[in-house]
Amino acid sequence: MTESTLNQLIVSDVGLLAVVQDQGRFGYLDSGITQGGAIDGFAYRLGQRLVGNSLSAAAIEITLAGFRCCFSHDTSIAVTGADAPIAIDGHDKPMNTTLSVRSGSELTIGHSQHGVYSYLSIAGGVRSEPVLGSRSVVMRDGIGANLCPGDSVPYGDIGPCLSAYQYAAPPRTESQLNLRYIPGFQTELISNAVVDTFHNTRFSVGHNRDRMGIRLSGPAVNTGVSKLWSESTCLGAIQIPPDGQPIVLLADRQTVGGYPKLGAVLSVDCARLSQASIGTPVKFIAVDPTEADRILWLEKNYEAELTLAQLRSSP
Amino acid sequence: MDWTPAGENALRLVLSEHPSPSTTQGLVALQQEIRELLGNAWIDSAIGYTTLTVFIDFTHYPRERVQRLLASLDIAKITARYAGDFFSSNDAHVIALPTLYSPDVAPDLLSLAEHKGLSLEELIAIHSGQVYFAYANGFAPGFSYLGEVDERLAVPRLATPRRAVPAGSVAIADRQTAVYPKVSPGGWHIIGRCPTLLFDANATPPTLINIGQWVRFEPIDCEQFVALGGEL
Repeated sequence: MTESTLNQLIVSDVGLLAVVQDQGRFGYLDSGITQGGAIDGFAYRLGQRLVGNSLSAAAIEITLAGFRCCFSHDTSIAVTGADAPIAIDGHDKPMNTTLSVRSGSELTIGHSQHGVYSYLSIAGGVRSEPVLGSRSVVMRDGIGANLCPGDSVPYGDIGPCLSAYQYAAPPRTESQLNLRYIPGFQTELISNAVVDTFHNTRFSVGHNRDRMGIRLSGPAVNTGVSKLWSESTCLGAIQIPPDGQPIVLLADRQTVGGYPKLGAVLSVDCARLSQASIGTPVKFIAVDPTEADRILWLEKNYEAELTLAQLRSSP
Repeated sequence: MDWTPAGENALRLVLSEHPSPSTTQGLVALQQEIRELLGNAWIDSAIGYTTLTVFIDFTHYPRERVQRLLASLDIAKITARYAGDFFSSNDAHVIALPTLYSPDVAPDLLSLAEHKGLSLEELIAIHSGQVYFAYANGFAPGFSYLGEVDERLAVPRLATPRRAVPAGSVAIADRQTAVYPKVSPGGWHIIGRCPTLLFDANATPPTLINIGQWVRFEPIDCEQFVALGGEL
Protein backbone atom coordinates (compact mmCIF):
# COMPACT_ATOMS: atom_id res chain seq x y z
CA MET A 1 0.00 0.00 0.00
CA THR A 2 1.46 3.34 -0.92
CA GLU A 3 1.29 6.13 1.56
CA SER A 4 -1.23 8.13 -0.44
CA THR A 5 -3.86 5.41 -0.07
CA LEU A 6 -3.60 5.34 3.73
CA ASN A 7 -6.44 6.79 5.70
CA GLN A 8 -5.01 9.88 7.30
CA LEU A 9 -6.14 12.83 9.27
CA ILE A 10 -4.26 15.99 8.49
CA VAL A 11 -3.76 18.24 11.48
CA SER A 12 -4.01 21.99 10.96
CA ASP A 13 -4.29 23.29 14.55
CA VAL A 14 -3.27 21.61 17.83
CA GLY A 15 -4.18 24.21 20.44
CA LEU A 16 -2.14 23.83 23.63
CA LEU A 17 -1.15 20.19 23.17
CA ALA A 18 -2.37 17.18 21.21
CA VAL A 19 -0.82 13.71 21.59
CA VAL A 20 -1.71 10.15 20.67
CA GLN A 21 -2.68 8.05 23.72
CA ASP A 22 -3.98 4.56 24.36
CA GLN A 23 -4.34 2.67 27.63
CA GLY A 24 -0.61 3.00 28.37
CA ARG A 25 2.62 1.04 28.32
CA PHE A 26 3.09 -1.79 30.80
CA GLY A 27 5.94 -4.11 31.71
CA TYR A 28 8.84 -1.66 31.43
CA LEU A 29 8.91 0.16 34.77
CA ASP A 30 12.30 -1.38 35.59
CA SER A 31 13.72 0.22 32.46
CA GLY A 32 12.55 3.59 33.77
CA ILE A 33 9.68 3.75 31.28
CA THR A 34 6.54 5.33 32.66
CA GLN A 35 3.02 3.97 32.20
CA GLY A 36 1.62 6.89 30.20
CA GLY A 37 -1.78 6.48 28.54
CA ALA A 38 -4.97 8.52 28.48
CA ILE A 39 -5.22 10.71 31.60
CA ASP A 40 -9.03 10.43 31.74
CA GLY A 41 -9.45 6.69 31.22
CA PHE A 42 -13.24 6.90 31.41
CA ALA A 43 -13.57 9.46 28.60
CA TYR A 44 -11.01 7.59 26.51
CA ARG A 45 -12.82 4.23 26.81
CA LEU A 46 -16.21 5.86 26.18
CA GLY A 47 -14.84 7.28 22.93
CA GLN A 48 -13.58 3.88 21.80
CA ARG A 49 -16.98 2.31 22.49
CA LEU A 50 -18.84 5.01 20.55
CA VAL A 51 -16.85 4.22 17.40
CA GLY A 52 -16.87 0.45 17.92
CA ASN A 53 -13.17 0.06 18.71
CA SER A 54 -11.51 -2.30 21.13
CA LEU A 55 -10.87 -0.56 24.45
CA SER A 56 -7.14 -0.50 23.76
CA ALA A 57 -7.24 1.40 20.45
CA ALA A 58 -5.40 4.71 20.27
CA ALA A 59 -7.06 8.14 20.32
CA ILE A 60 -5.87 11.73 20.18
CA GLU A 61 -5.79 13.47 23.56
CA ILE A 62 -6.31 17.21 23.28
CA THR A 63 -5.44 19.54 26.16
CA LEU A 64 -7.80 22.53 26.59
CA ALA A 65 -8.85 22.19 22.95
CA GLY A 66 -8.40 24.42 19.95
CA PHE A 67 -7.89 21.44 17.61
CA ARG A 68 -8.56 21.28 13.88
CA CYS A 69 -8.04 18.51 11.31
CA CYS A 70 -9.24 17.05 7.98
CA PHE A 71 -9.98 13.42 7.14
CA SER A 72 -8.77 11.70 3.96
CA HIS A 73 -11.48 8.99 3.91
CA ASP A 74 -15.05 8.53 5.15
CA THR A 75 -15.14 7.32 8.74
CA SER A 76 -16.85 7.72 12.12
CA ILE A 77 -15.50 9.70 15.03
CA ALA A 78 -16.48 10.69 18.57
CA VAL A 79 -15.28 13.46 20.86
CA THR A 80 -15.42 12.78 24.61
CA GLY A 81 -13.96 14.24 27.79
CA ALA A 82 -13.85 18.00 28.38
CA ASP A 83 -16.97 19.96 27.35
CA ALA A 84 -15.97 21.72 24.17
CA PRO A 85 -17.89 22.99 21.14
CA ILE A 86 -17.46 20.68 18.13
CA ALA A 87 -18.16 21.40 14.48
CA ILE A 88 -17.82 19.41 11.27
CA ASP A 89 -17.53 21.59 8.15
CA GLY A 90 -18.89 24.49 10.19
CA HIS A 91 -21.98 22.67 11.52
CA ASP A 92 -22.27 22.25 15.31
CA LYS A 93 -22.22 18.65 16.50
CA PRO A 94 -22.84 16.99 19.87
CA MET A 95 -20.16 15.51 22.12
CA ASN A 96 -20.26 11.88 23.29
CA THR A 97 -21.86 10.83 19.99
CA THR A 98 -20.88 8.71 16.99
CA LEU A 99 -20.42 11.25 14.18
CA SER A 100 -19.93 10.65 10.44
CA VAL A 101 -17.19 12.45 8.60
CA ARG A 102 -16.64 12.40 4.83
CA SER A 103 -13.44 12.42 2.89
CA GLY A 104 -12.26 16.04 3.09
CA SER A 105 -14.43 16.95 6.10
CA GLU A 106 -12.93 19.40 8.57
CA LEU A 107 -13.38 18.88 12.32
CA THR A 108 -12.89 21.69 14.80
CA ILE A 109 -12.84 21.33 18.57
CA GLY A 110 -13.12 24.69 20.31
CA HIS A 111 -11.98 25.81 23.74
CA SER A 112 -13.30 23.69 26.58
CA GLN A 113 -15.84 25.18 28.97
CA HIS A 114 -15.44 22.45 31.59
CA GLY A 115 -12.61 20.02 31.86
CA VAL A 116 -9.10 19.85 30.48
CA TYR A 117 -8.68 16.74 28.31
CA SER A 118 -10.73 15.87 25.20
CA TYR A 119 -10.43 12.63 23.24
CA LEU A 120 -10.88 12.29 19.50
CA SER A 121 -11.63 8.64 18.75
CA ILE A 122 -11.76 7.30 15.19
CA ALA A 123 -13.26 4.04 13.88
CA GLY A 124 -10.34 1.62 13.47
CA GLY A 125 -8.19 3.64 15.85
CA VAL A 126 -5.19 5.91 15.37
CA ARG A 127 -2.45 3.82 13.73
CA SER A 128 0.74 5.61 14.64
CA GLU A 129 3.84 3.43 15.08
CA PRO A 130 3.72 1.56 18.42
CA VAL A 131 6.77 1.68 20.72
CA LEU A 132 7.18 -1.18 23.23
CA GLY A 133 3.62 -2.33 22.79
CA SER A 134 1.85 1.02 23.02
CA ARG A 135 1.14 4.11 20.94
CA SER A 136 1.09 6.37 24.01
CA VAL A 137 3.35 9.38 23.60
CA VAL A 138 5.62 10.32 26.52
CA MET A 139 7.10 13.62 25.41
CA ARG A 140 9.51 13.94 28.33
CA ASP A 141 11.11 10.60 27.44
CA GLY A 142 11.19 11.19 23.68
CA ILE A 143 8.77 8.29 23.09
CA GLY A 144 6.70 9.59 20.19
CA ALA A 145 6.08 13.29 19.76
CA ASN A 146 3.31 15.85 20.16
CA LEU A 147 1.28 16.60 17.03
CA CYS A 148 2.14 19.71 15.04
CA PRO A 149 0.17 21.57 12.35
CA GLY A 150 0.80 19.82 9.03
CA ASP A 151 1.26 16.36 10.57
CA SER A 152 -0.70 13.50 9.07
CA VAL A 153 -1.84 10.72 11.38
CA PRO A 154 -2.85 7.32 9.94
CA TYR A 155 -6.13 5.79 11.07
CA GLY A 156 -7.81 2.40 10.56
CA ASP A 157 -9.43 1.80 7.17
CA ILE A 158 -12.55 0.05 8.44
CA GLY A 159 -14.85 2.82 7.19
CA PRO A 160 -17.81 4.44 8.94
CA CYS A 161 -19.66 2.66 11.77
CA LEU A 162 -22.98 1.00 10.86
CA SER A 163 -24.69 2.28 14.01
CA ALA A 164 -24.47 5.57 15.83
CA TYR A 165 -24.71 5.95 19.60
CA GLN A 166 -24.97 8.75 22.08
CA TYR A 167 -24.08 8.88 25.76
CA ALA A 168 -26.04 11.30 27.90
CA ALA A 169 -23.52 12.50 30.46
CA PRO A 170 -25.05 13.17 33.90
CA PRO A 171 -25.19 16.87 34.77
CA ARG A 172 -22.20 18.21 36.67
CA THR A 173 -23.13 18.61 40.32
CA GLU A 174 -19.91 18.26 42.19
CA SER A 175 -18.59 21.36 43.84
CA GLN A 176 -16.03 19.42 45.83
CA LEU A 177 -13.93 16.55 44.59
CA ASN A 178 -13.68 13.63 47.03
CA LEU A 179 -10.57 11.62 46.24
CA ARG A 180 -10.73 8.10 47.62
CA TYR A 181 -7.28 6.70 48.33
CA ILE A 182 -5.64 3.59 49.74
CA PRO A 183 -3.25 4.46 52.58
CA GLY A 184 0.24 3.14 51.85
CA PHE A 185 2.69 1.44 54.18
CA GLN A 186 4.52 4.71 54.79
CA THR A 187 1.45 5.96 56.65
CA GLU A 188 2.82 3.96 59.59
CA LEU A 189 5.77 6.35 59.70
CA ILE A 190 3.48 9.36 59.92
CA SER A 191 1.70 10.32 63.17
CA ASN A 192 -2.07 9.81 63.45
CA ALA A 193 -2.53 13.51 64.17
CA VAL A 194 -0.92 14.42 60.83
CA VAL A 195 -3.08 11.87 58.98
CA ASP A 196 -6.24 13.17 60.74
CA THR A 197 -5.38 16.73 59.78
CA PHE A 198 -4.78 15.58 56.21
CA HIS A 199 -8.28 14.05 56.09
CA ASN A 200 -9.88 17.18 57.52
CA THR A 201 -8.13 19.59 55.19
CA ARG A 202 -9.74 21.05 52.10
CA PHE A 203 -7.06 21.40 49.46
CA SER A 204 -7.56 23.00 46.09
CA VAL A 205 -6.34 22.13 42.61
CA GLY A 206 -3.24 24.25 41.94
CA HIS A 207 -1.85 25.88 38.79
CA ASN A 208 1.03 23.47 38.54
CA ARG A 209 -0.31 20.52 36.59
CA ASP A 210 0.52 18.35 33.65
CA ARG A 211 0.41 14.71 32.61
CA MET A 212 2.96 13.85 35.32
CA GLY A 213 0.91 15.09 38.22
CA ILE A 214 -1.24 17.74 39.83
CA ARG A 215 -0.07 19.89 42.72
CA LEU A 216 -2.66 20.77 45.33
CA SER A 217 -2.51 23.81 47.54
CA GLY A 218 -3.51 24.10 51.15
CA PRO A 219 -1.95 24.13 54.60
CA ALA A 220 1.40 22.33 54.50
CA VAL A 221 1.36 18.64 55.43
CA ASN A 222 4.31 18.00 57.71
CA THR A 223 4.95 14.27 57.51
CA GLY A 224 8.00 14.41 59.78
CA VAL A 225 9.59 11.90 57.42
CA SER A 226 12.73 12.98 55.62
CA LYS A 227 15.03 10.39 54.11
CA LEU A 228 13.37 7.47 52.30
CA TRP A 229 14.93 5.00 49.92
CA SER A 230 13.58 5.62 46.41
CA GLU A 231 10.88 3.16 45.42
CA SER A 232 8.37 2.60 42.65
CA THR A 233 5.60 5.18 42.31
CA CYS A 234 1.96 4.24 41.63
CA LEU A 235 -0.79 5.95 39.68
CA GLY A 236 -2.45 8.39 42.08
CA ALA A 237 0.39 8.36 44.63
CA ILE A 238 0.02 11.27 47.06
CA GLN A 239 3.54 12.59 47.33
CA ILE A 240 4.49 15.11 49.99
CA PRO A 241 7.54 17.14 48.93
CA PRO A 242 9.46 19.25 51.49
CA ASP A 243 7.10 22.24 51.04
CA GLY A 244 4.18 20.10 52.31
CA GLN A 245 1.92 20.72 49.28
CA PRO A 246 0.66 17.31 48.07
CA ILE A 247 1.24 16.21 44.48
CA VAL A 248 -1.03 13.51 43.04
CA LEU A 249 1.00 11.55 40.49
CA LEU A 250 -0.66 10.74 37.17
CA ALA A 251 0.02 8.70 34.01
CA ASP A 252 3.39 10.21 33.01
CA ARG A 253 4.86 10.18 36.56
CA GLN A 254 8.51 9.36 37.19
CA THR A 255 8.83 5.63 37.82
CA VAL A 256 10.73 5.94 41.10
CA GLY A 257 10.69 8.57 43.81
CA GLY A 258 11.90 9.14 47.34
CA TYR A 259 9.38 11.65 48.72
CA PRO A 260 7.07 10.44 51.50
CA LYS A 261 3.70 9.20 50.26
CA LEU A 262 0.42 8.97 52.14
CA GLY A 263 -1.10 6.46 49.76
CA ALA A 264 -2.55 6.35 46.27
CA VAL A 265 -5.80 7.78 44.87
CA LEU A 266 -8.05 5.32 43.01
CA SER A 267 -7.70 5.44 39.20
CA VAL A 268 -11.34 6.47 38.71
CA ASP A 269 -10.80 9.48 40.97
CA CYS A 270 -7.49 10.33 39.26
CA ALA A 271 -9.50 10.62 36.04
CA ARG A 272 -11.95 13.04 37.69
CA LEU A 273 -9.12 15.03 39.25
CA SER A 274 -7.40 15.36 35.86
CA GLN A 275 -10.49 17.17 34.48
CA ALA A 276 -10.92 19.48 37.52
CA SER A 277 -10.37 23.17 36.98
CA ILE A 278 -7.87 25.19 38.97
CA GLY A 279 -9.22 26.09 42.40
CA THR A 280 -11.60 23.10 42.68
CA PRO A 281 -11.82 22.07 46.36
CA VAL A 282 -10.44 18.61 47.07
CA LYS A 283 -10.76 16.27 50.04
CA PHE A 284 -9.09 12.93 50.65
CA ILE A 285 -11.01 9.91 51.94
CA ALA A 286 -9.19 6.75 53.00
CA VAL A 287 -10.63 3.43 51.82
CA ASP A 288 -9.28 -0.06 52.50
CA PRO A 289 -8.17 -2.28 49.58
CA THR A 290 -11.26 -4.51 49.74
CA GLU A 291 -13.52 -1.48 49.50
CA ALA A 292 -11.39 -0.16 46.63
CA ASP A 293 -11.87 -3.47 44.79
CA ARG A 294 -15.64 -3.14 45.25
CA ILE A 295 -15.67 0.48 44.03
CA LEU A 296 -13.63 -0.42 40.95
CA TRP A 297 -15.78 -3.46 40.21
CA LEU A 298 -18.92 -1.31 40.36
CA GLU A 299 -17.35 1.38 38.17
CA LYS A 300 -16.24 -1.22 35.65
CA ASN A 301 -19.73 -2.68 35.43
CA TYR A 302 -21.28 0.75 35.27
CA GLU A 303 -19.01 1.58 32.36
CA ALA A 304 -19.64 -1.71 30.56
CA GLU A 305 -23.41 -1.36 30.89
CA LEU A 306 -23.46 2.36 30.28
CA THR A 307 -26.60 3.24 28.45
CA LEU A 308 -25.62 4.32 25.00
CA ALA A 309 -28.73 5.37 23.15
CA GLN A 310 -28.77 4.10 19.59
CA LEU A 311 -29.53 6.88 17.13
CA ARG A 312 -31.69 6.44 14.02
CA SER A 313 -29.05 7.97 11.83
CA SER A 314 -25.65 9.39 12.47
CA PRO A 315 -25.82 13.14 13.15
CA MET B 1 7.87 -9.65 55.74
CA ASP B 2 4.45 -8.50 54.61
CA TRP B 3 2.98 -7.39 51.32
CA THR B 4 1.29 -4.04 51.89
CA PRO B 5 -0.95 -2.15 49.47
CA ALA B 6 0.74 0.68 47.57
CA GLY B 7 -2.23 1.55 45.38
CA GLU B 8 -5.40 -0.05 44.01
CA ASN B 9 -3.43 -2.52 41.90
CA ALA B 10 -0.06 -2.59 43.67
CA LEU B 11 1.45 -4.59 46.52
CA ARG B 12 4.82 -3.77 48.00
CA LEU B 13 7.36 -5.76 49.95
CA VAL B 14 10.17 -4.17 51.95
CA LEU B 15 12.97 -6.72 51.83
CA SER B 16 15.53 -4.95 53.98
CA GLU B 17 15.96 -1.75 55.95
CA HIS B 18 19.07 -0.69 54.03
CA PRO B 19 20.08 -1.12 50.40
CA SER B 20 22.92 -3.43 49.44
CA PRO B 21 23.84 -5.44 46.33
CA SER B 22 22.63 -8.61 48.03
CA THR B 23 19.26 -6.99 48.84
CA THR B 24 18.87 -5.93 45.20
CA GLN B 25 19.90 -9.37 43.95
CA GLY B 26 17.27 -10.87 46.24
CA LEU B 27 14.69 -8.47 44.83
CA VAL B 28 15.60 -9.44 41.25
CA ALA B 29 15.27 -13.15 42.08
CA LEU B 30 11.95 -12.54 43.81
CA GLN B 31 10.69 -10.46 40.89
CA GLN B 32 11.43 -13.26 38.39
CA GLU B 33 9.70 -15.84 40.59
CA ILE B 34 6.60 -13.68 41.08
CA ARG B 35 6.26 -12.87 37.41
CA GLU B 36 6.06 -16.59 36.64
CA LEU B 37 3.79 -17.31 39.59
CA LEU B 38 1.23 -14.62 38.70
CA GLY B 39 1.07 -15.24 34.96
CA ASN B 40 -1.59 -13.06 33.37
CA ALA B 41 -2.43 -11.39 36.67
CA TRP B 42 1.00 -9.70 36.51
CA ILE B 43 0.87 -6.21 34.97
CA ASP B 44 4.29 -4.82 35.85
CA SER B 45 6.77 -4.70 38.70
CA ALA B 46 9.50 -2.36 39.84
CA ILE B 47 12.51 -2.65 42.09
CA GLY B 48 13.40 0.18 44.45
CA TYR B 49 16.47 0.38 46.71
CA THR B 50 14.91 -1.87 49.36
CA THR B 51 11.48 -2.68 47.92
CA LEU B 52 9.68 -4.67 45.26
CA THR B 53 6.37 -3.28 44.01
CA VAL B 54 4.17 -5.63 41.99
CA PHE B 55 1.25 -4.37 39.89
CA ILE B 56 -1.56 -6.89 39.69
CA ASP B 57 -4.79 -7.10 37.71
CA PHE B 58 -7.22 -7.37 40.63
CA THR B 59 -10.17 -6.77 38.29
CA HIS B 60 -9.69 -10.28 36.88
CA TYR B 61 -7.83 -12.05 39.71
CA PRO B 62 -9.36 -11.76 43.19
CA ARG B 63 -7.12 -10.00 45.70
CA GLU B 64 -7.51 -12.76 48.28
CA ARG B 65 -6.32 -15.45 45.89
CA VAL B 66 -3.30 -13.41 44.79
CA GLN B 67 -2.42 -12.62 48.39
CA ARG B 68 -2.62 -16.31 49.30
CA LEU B 69 -0.27 -17.11 46.41
CA LEU B 70 2.20 -14.43 47.47
CA ALA B 71 2.02 -15.53 51.10
CA SER B 72 2.96 -19.06 50.04
CA LEU B 73 6.33 -17.89 48.69
CA ASP B 74 9.41 -18.82 50.67
CA ILE B 75 11.05 -15.43 50.37
CA ALA B 76 14.22 -16.31 52.24
CA LYS B 77 14.81 -19.29 49.95
CA ILE B 78 14.11 -17.37 46.74
CA THR B 79 16.20 -14.34 47.63
CA ALA B 80 19.12 -16.59 48.57
CA ARG B 81 19.14 -18.06 45.06
CA TYR B 82 21.27 -15.67 43.04
CA ALA B 83 21.00 -15.90 39.30
CA GLY B 84 24.67 -16.74 38.76
CA ASP B 85 26.73 -14.91 36.15
CA PHE B 86 24.29 -12.08 35.61
CA PHE B 87 25.23 -10.71 39.01
CA SER B 88 28.92 -11.35 38.85
CA SER B 89 31.32 -8.49 39.46
CA ASN B 90 34.01 -10.49 37.67
CA ASP B 91 35.55 -8.50 34.85
CA ALA B 92 33.91 -10.54 32.08
CA HIS B 93 30.39 -9.57 33.19
CA VAL B 94 30.96 -5.94 34.04
CA ILE B 95 29.45 -3.46 31.57
CA ALA B 96 32.20 -1.12 30.42
CA LEU B 97 31.21 2.47 29.77
CA PRO B 98 33.88 4.34 27.80
CA THR B 99 34.06 7.85 29.22
CA LEU B 100 35.74 11.03 28.07
CA TYR B 101 36.74 12.95 31.20
CA SER B 102 37.41 16.42 29.80
CA PRO B 103 36.39 19.96 30.77
CA ASP B 104 35.26 20.36 27.13
CA VAL B 105 32.29 18.06 27.78
CA ALA B 106 32.09 18.20 31.58
CA PRO B 107 31.40 21.64 33.08
CA ASP B 108 31.84 20.47 36.70
CA LEU B 109 35.01 18.40 36.29
CA LEU B 110 37.56 21.05 37.23
CA SER B 111 35.48 22.67 39.95
CA LEU B 112 34.79 19.32 41.60
CA ALA B 113 38.49 18.38 41.53
CA GLU B 114 39.38 21.74 43.05
CA HIS B 115 36.62 21.51 45.67
CA LYS B 116 37.82 18.04 46.67
CA GLY B 117 41.52 18.98 46.65
CA LEU B 118 42.28 16.45 43.94
CA SER B 119 44.18 16.67 40.68
CA LEU B 120 42.25 15.88 37.51
CA GLU B 121 44.19 12.61 37.17
CA GLU B 122 43.37 11.61 40.75
CA LEU B 123 39.67 12.31 40.29
CA ILE B 124 39.54 10.25 37.08
CA ALA B 125 41.52 7.42 38.70
CA ILE B 126 39.11 7.31 41.65
CA HIS B 127 35.92 7.41 39.55
CA SER B 128 37.12 4.86 36.99
CA GLY B 129 39.01 2.69 39.47
CA GLN B 130 36.08 0.70 40.86
CA VAL B 131 32.96 -1.14 39.77
CA TYR B 132 29.48 0.25 40.48
CA PHE B 133 26.27 -1.60 41.15
CA ALA B 134 22.95 -0.76 39.41
CA TYR B 135 20.47 -0.35 42.29
CA ALA B 136 17.53 1.05 40.35
CA ASN B 137 16.46 2.45 36.99
CA GLY B 138 14.27 5.50 36.79
CA PHE B 139 14.13 9.26 36.20
CA ALA B 140 14.28 8.58 32.44
CA PRO B 141 14.38 5.43 30.27
CA GLY B 142 17.84 3.92 30.66
CA PHE B 143 18.90 6.09 33.61
CA SER B 144 20.56 3.80 36.19
CA TYR B 145 21.35 4.78 39.75
CA LEU B 146 24.89 3.43 40.25
CA GLY B 147 26.67 3.18 43.58
CA GLU B 148 28.58 3.63 45.66
CA VAL B 149 30.86 6.48 44.67
CA ASP B 150 34.09 6.80 46.69
CA GLU B 151 33.61 9.14 49.64
CA ARG B 152 36.40 11.38 48.29
CA LEU B 153 34.15 12.32 45.33
CA ALA B 154 30.79 12.55 47.12
CA VAL B 155 29.12 15.91 46.53
CA PRO B 156 25.55 17.22 47.06
CA ARG B 157 23.37 18.02 44.04
CA LEU B 158 23.70 21.45 42.38
CA ALA B 159 21.66 24.13 44.15
CA THR B 160 20.04 24.99 40.82
CA PRO B 161 19.54 22.12 38.39
CA ARG B 162 20.54 22.67 34.75
CA ARG B 163 17.68 22.92 32.28
CA ALA B 164 19.41 20.75 29.72
CA VAL B 165 22.15 18.23 30.43
CA PRO B 166 23.60 16.76 27.19
CA ALA B 167 22.98 13.09 26.37
CA GLY B 168 25.75 10.81 27.63
CA SER B 169 26.77 13.11 30.50
CA VAL B 170 28.44 11.14 33.31
CA ALA B 171 27.54 12.69 36.63
CA ILE B 172 27.83 12.40 40.41
CA ALA B 173 25.41 13.23 43.23
CA ASP B 174 26.06 12.21 46.83
CA ARG B 175 27.50 8.72 46.59
CA GLN B 176 25.73 7.88 43.34
CA THR B 177 26.87 8.16 39.77
CA ALA B 178 24.90 7.87 36.52
CA VAL B 179 24.85 8.55 32.81
CA TYR B 180 22.07 10.72 31.37
CA PRO B 181 20.71 8.64 28.44
CA LYS B 182 19.27 11.66 26.65
CA VAL B 183 19.09 15.42 26.96
CA SER B 184 17.17 16.23 30.13
CA PRO B 185 17.12 18.63 33.04
CA GLY B 186 19.57 17.56 35.75
CA GLY B 187 21.08 18.59 39.06
CA TRP B 188 24.04 16.20 39.23
CA HIS B 189 27.70 17.29 38.79
CA ILE B 190 28.88 16.46 35.27
CA ILE B 191 32.38 14.97 35.14
CA GLY B 192 32.50 13.27 31.75
CA ARG B 193 30.66 12.01 28.71
CA CYS B 194 29.94 8.49 27.47
CA PRO B 195 29.20 7.81 23.77
CA THR B 196 27.40 4.49 24.43
CA LEU B 197 23.68 4.23 23.66
CA LEU B 198 21.93 3.37 26.95
CA PHE B 199 18.34 3.12 25.76
CA ASP B 200 16.99 1.68 22.52
CA ALA B 201 13.26 1.04 22.33
CA ASN B 202 13.86 -1.57 19.59
CA ALA B 203 16.29 -3.65 21.68
CA THR B 204 15.39 -6.43 24.13
CA PRO B 205 15.72 -5.42 26.87
CA PRO B 206 15.57 -1.76 25.84
CA THR B 207 18.15 -0.73 28.45
CA LEU B 208 21.88 -1.50 28.38
CA ILE B 209 22.21 -1.48 32.17
CA ASN B 210 19.74 -3.59 34.09
CA ILE B 211 19.12 -3.64 37.81
CA GLY B 212 21.61 -5.88 39.62
CA GLN B 213 24.37 -5.57 37.03
CA TRP B 214 27.85 -4.14 37.60
CA VAL B 215 29.30 -1.24 35.63
CA ARG B 216 32.76 0.25 35.17
CA PHE B 217 33.80 3.57 33.60
CA GLU B 218 36.79 3.39 31.24
CA PRO B 219 38.69 6.60 30.47
CA ILE B 220 39.04 7.33 26.74
CA ASP B 221 40.50 10.24 24.79
CA CYS B 222 38.81 12.59 22.30
CA GLU B 223 39.76 10.49 19.29
CA GLN B 224 38.33 7.29 20.79
CA PHE B 225 35.23 9.21 21.87
CA VAL B 226 34.56 10.36 18.31
CA ALA B 227 35.39 6.91 16.89
CA LEU B 228 32.78 5.41 19.21
CA GLY B 229 30.15 7.76 17.81
CA GLY B 230 30.45 10.53 20.38
CA GLU B 231 29.71 14.10 19.36
CA LEU B 232 31.80 16.93 20.73
